Amino acid sequence: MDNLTSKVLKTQPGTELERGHSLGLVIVAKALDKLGGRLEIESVPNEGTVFTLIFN
Amino acid sequence: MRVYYYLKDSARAFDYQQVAAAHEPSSDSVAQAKIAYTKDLLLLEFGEHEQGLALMDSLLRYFKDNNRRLYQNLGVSSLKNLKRLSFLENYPNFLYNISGKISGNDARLHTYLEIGLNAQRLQLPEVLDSMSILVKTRWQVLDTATISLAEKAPYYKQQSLALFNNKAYAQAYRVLANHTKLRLKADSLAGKEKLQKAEILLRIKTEQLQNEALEKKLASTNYQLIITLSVIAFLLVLSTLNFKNQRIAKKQSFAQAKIASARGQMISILSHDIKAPLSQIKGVLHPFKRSDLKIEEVNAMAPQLIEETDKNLGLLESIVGWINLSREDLQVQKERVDLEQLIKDVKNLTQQVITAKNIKFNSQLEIKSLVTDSFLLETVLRNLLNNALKCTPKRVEFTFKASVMETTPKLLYGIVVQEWTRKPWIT
Repeated sequence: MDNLTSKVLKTQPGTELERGHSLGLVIVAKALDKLGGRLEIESVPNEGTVFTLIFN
Repeated sequence: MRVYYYLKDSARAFDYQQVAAAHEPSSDSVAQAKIAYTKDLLLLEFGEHEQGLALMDSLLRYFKDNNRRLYQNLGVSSLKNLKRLSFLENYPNFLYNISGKISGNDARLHTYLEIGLNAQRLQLPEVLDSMSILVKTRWQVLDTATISLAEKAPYYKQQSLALFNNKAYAQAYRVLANHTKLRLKADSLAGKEKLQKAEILLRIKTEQLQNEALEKKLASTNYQLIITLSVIAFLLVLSTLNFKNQRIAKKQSFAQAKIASARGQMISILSHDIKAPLSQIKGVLHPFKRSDLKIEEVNAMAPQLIEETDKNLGLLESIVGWINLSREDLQVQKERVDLEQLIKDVKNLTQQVITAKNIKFNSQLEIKSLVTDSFLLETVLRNLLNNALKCTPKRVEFTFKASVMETTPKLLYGIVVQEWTRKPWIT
């Protein structure tokens, strides 16, 4: 999570070659910080990913 | 021999003992007793006192019955041990027996005085009676005795009491008057001594006061020292804190420099991201300068123009959002948020991509609402969904879940965005 949010990310094209702007997860991290929540990510390659947002 | 004994000259006493033994025309037993007596005195003075006293007591008892003269001499020498031998209790008529045998005014006076005082202390009236007979003829010794006034005065009192007991009132008065006169003289001397003592005490007191003043000064100096040390300690703490603050400031400065560098890098990337679509748009718009551009050609170029413009708009919106979230003064405004509506809104914002990738969308909401900042939560969900959609192939299933995760120690709510890529819902 730290790596996802604290560094400037290099964006990668999507499955249909969509272009990103590398700010998405940075914004998520900042917003969660303001909300006092946290993000847990569970990912299985080629199967799927679960993003869990946890709030008090 | 007795004189030498008093002088504590044991060698001379021994010599005298030998001479006495040679000139004593007594029987052997008497001579032996004399030697034993001398040894006793020497032992008493220079050796073990208790043994000497015991021997002296036994000799006194022996001589009392067998040799009157030795008994008297021995008794006089024993007077200084009156208390320890219980002398007067054992020999109550001793004074009367030796009255004519004591030589020297000083010795007589001492004898009478000691016997009188002890007889008074022990409440022995018969001894006092015998004294009263003696004082009639002996009180004149006071005039020639060399003892101190302080010692003479009690003797006059003794005499007076003895005369009073014998109803010689006039004589008792005269002696008492002498006693008073002597007492006054003694008191006067004592007064002088007291004055001297007072002067000494005054000097001691002055010294004490000076000492106290010095101690106070010392205490004051100590106090000043403590204050100085405290100030030094305070300055040390201050300089330590200053040093720490400087270190923290340096760290902060370093961190700020890193942040500034990262921001610069990010702005550079973002500028490039903005520049690329704008270049595309510029390229597409270039043919528009031609006057013979047909409507079909414009229609063919329009979708690309719209797409590139949308990309730029999305990026600019993200930049504005990022800048707003980075503001320190951003206030979180909590309110009850309808989760179902919020998810619907987020889904609508990305509907174009969902449709394009043929994504199936599910919602499993165990909790319908949440108290939070709706704008921030919407920002989080929208960005997460955008990110997930970008990385998701066509025809997969997305699920939003919201539930209570834990009730202790805190109430935790979870919102799950789940996507599966391996098992497309449509084949």
